[in-house]
Amino acid sequence: MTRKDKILGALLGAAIGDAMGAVTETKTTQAIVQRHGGFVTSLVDPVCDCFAHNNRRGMVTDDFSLVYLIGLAYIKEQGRVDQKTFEQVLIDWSMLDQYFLDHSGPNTKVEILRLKGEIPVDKYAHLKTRNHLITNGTAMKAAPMGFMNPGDYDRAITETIAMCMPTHPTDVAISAAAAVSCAVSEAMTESTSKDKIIQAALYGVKESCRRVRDTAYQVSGAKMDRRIEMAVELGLRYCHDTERLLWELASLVGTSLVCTESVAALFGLFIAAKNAFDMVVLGVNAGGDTDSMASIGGAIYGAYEGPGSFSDADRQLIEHMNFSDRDLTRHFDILGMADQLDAIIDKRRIPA
Amino acid sequence: MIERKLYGCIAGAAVGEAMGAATATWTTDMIRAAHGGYLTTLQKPPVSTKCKGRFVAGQPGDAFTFSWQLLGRFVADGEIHGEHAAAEELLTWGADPDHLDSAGYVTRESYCALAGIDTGYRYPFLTFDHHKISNEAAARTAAVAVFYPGDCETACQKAIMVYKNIYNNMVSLSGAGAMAAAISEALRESATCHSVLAAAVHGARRGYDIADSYRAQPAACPLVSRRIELAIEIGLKYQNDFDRAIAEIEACVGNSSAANESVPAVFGCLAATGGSAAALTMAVNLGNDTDMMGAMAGALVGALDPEALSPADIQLVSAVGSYDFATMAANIAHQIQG
Repeated sequence: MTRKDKILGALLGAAIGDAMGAVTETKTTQAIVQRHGGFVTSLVDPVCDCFAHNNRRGMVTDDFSLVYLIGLAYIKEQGRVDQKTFEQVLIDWSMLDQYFLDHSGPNTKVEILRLKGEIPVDKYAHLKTRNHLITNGTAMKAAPMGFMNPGDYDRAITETIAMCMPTHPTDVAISAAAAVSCAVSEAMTESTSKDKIIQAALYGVKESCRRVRDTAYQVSGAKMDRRIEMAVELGLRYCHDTERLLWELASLVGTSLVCTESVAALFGLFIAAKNAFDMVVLGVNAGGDTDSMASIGGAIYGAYEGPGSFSDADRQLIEHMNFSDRDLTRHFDILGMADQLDAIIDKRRIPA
Repeated sequence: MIERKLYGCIAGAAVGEAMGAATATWTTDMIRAAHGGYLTTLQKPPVSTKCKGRFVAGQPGDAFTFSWQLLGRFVADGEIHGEHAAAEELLTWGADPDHLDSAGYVTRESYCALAGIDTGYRYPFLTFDHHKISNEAAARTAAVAVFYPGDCETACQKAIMVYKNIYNNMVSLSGAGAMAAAISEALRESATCHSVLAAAVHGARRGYDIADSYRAQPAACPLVSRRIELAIEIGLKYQNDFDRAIAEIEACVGNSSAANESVPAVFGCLAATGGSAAALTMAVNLGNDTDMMGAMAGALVGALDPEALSPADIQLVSAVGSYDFATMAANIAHQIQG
């Protein structure tokens, strides 16, 4: 499998997972099954009581639209990205009404408005901690730092920290994102395995926490590494019993937008999944923040396995239904993005 | 005996919340650095805590001030009846800006809804809502459970009936069920730490079912009952290692304002300490939502063993808030036995 295939697999997993999960977001597995007559296994129109109620079949939400804009930024900057690059991505993304208005996460929205100078007062200014900045808004857009740095965890972490600081400058949120970027980075290598990918995620958690000890807010709360370990243990134990696996993860680890729940839980799904599309389907039906789990998990498994289990029709629908400008003239081009990003990785390896 | 246990439960809730206010939102490292070890006394909360430094030493926050008002209401009524008492009391309690300013998110949202104030809530179309799974109902449950010592089922049912209108969420009400059953059990003369922990798991399950029967708003979230089981397992495993118990409960169970983190964490503290006064110390040193965990742990420790609480702490809290715990306990005992 070529490196470009792996990038394409990651992009497709992130895109299809997001668009498919947008339909089931916030609900429990039981409610999803009742509402849809079984597991959701294809792209369908969203229902009225979800965040994506204004979307149509194949439209993505914040998860993949941010991944896509970060991909464009890597292309524009020829791979030379830093915190300013990611701040500009957020500002550019906030101009896309189709994503920002309905799909901005609670912390991302506030911090973007602050970046733009539209929120003058920080109501948490008196606190030493930012215990609320633990949503998965960082992890959902961390896959590009992984597939742009195949096998290079340390640079993946450096770029992940730069991406996180504008909106979620806390050790826990950064460690969740680093778990994802390191998992994807490892998944991009040729001789990888699921076990190595989990170990890479745990390395990302520990190393990123070490690096930001003095520069990010420390959060008092559950820790990413312990929750990932819990989820993986459940994934291994119940990998042959999907219903039980989903119940165990949802009722104990959790699947909410809090990163120590959904980002941890998706590693339990990853261990149990049979292929990249199966990973997406598990995430879509796991309940809670389904689109993020399906999107992130889809990116990790897509990088591991390539695009083989994803449908070309799904890719074409997503490219047709989504735009990278507010005038809705520039369709997403996932194939083209994979090509360009792959070329940039080689350029990044040549010392300046 | 019951009067003394009631006294311990109510005073313990007040002392625990006041003690935890001095560490609320902090990490365990920050707490130990500031206090040269674990916090074991009532201190004035610094500016960098939840109350922004406005409280004096020994001053409990929103959970106890509201609970105290509700206790007064139930004693005056002579019984707990109707579904609107808590909402009616919230309207008068929330009219005090100092109360509302220190209130948790869901309490504030519910007050605004009752008072006709627009909060800009963006998601009225959601069937499942993760935003309202707070521990605020659980931290106020002692105000109901004290009327039903040794009757876990009625304590659960009444707690959820009282709070379902202002904390309309199945996870939040499941947390209230756990606390209601645990406090009810702790007030029983022959209660043990073990029997309280068993009651908590049962109460969380019953609370969830009762909330479901009221068609409370669901949320796709971890179950309080399962997280309590996890917390108890960790607490028992590290019974002889206070530091490790704190670290493991925080890392695996969590300590946030979510009912499926801080409520279970309190039972982890009980399990790790055998329900002694050390459970309260552990709760206020666990980091993050320490004032609410202090309120819950204090109520349980005080109900199990009223003599475990520091008389000096009770005296200070009583003086700061003009709380006559003894008279309140006597009135409740009279009502129970009446």
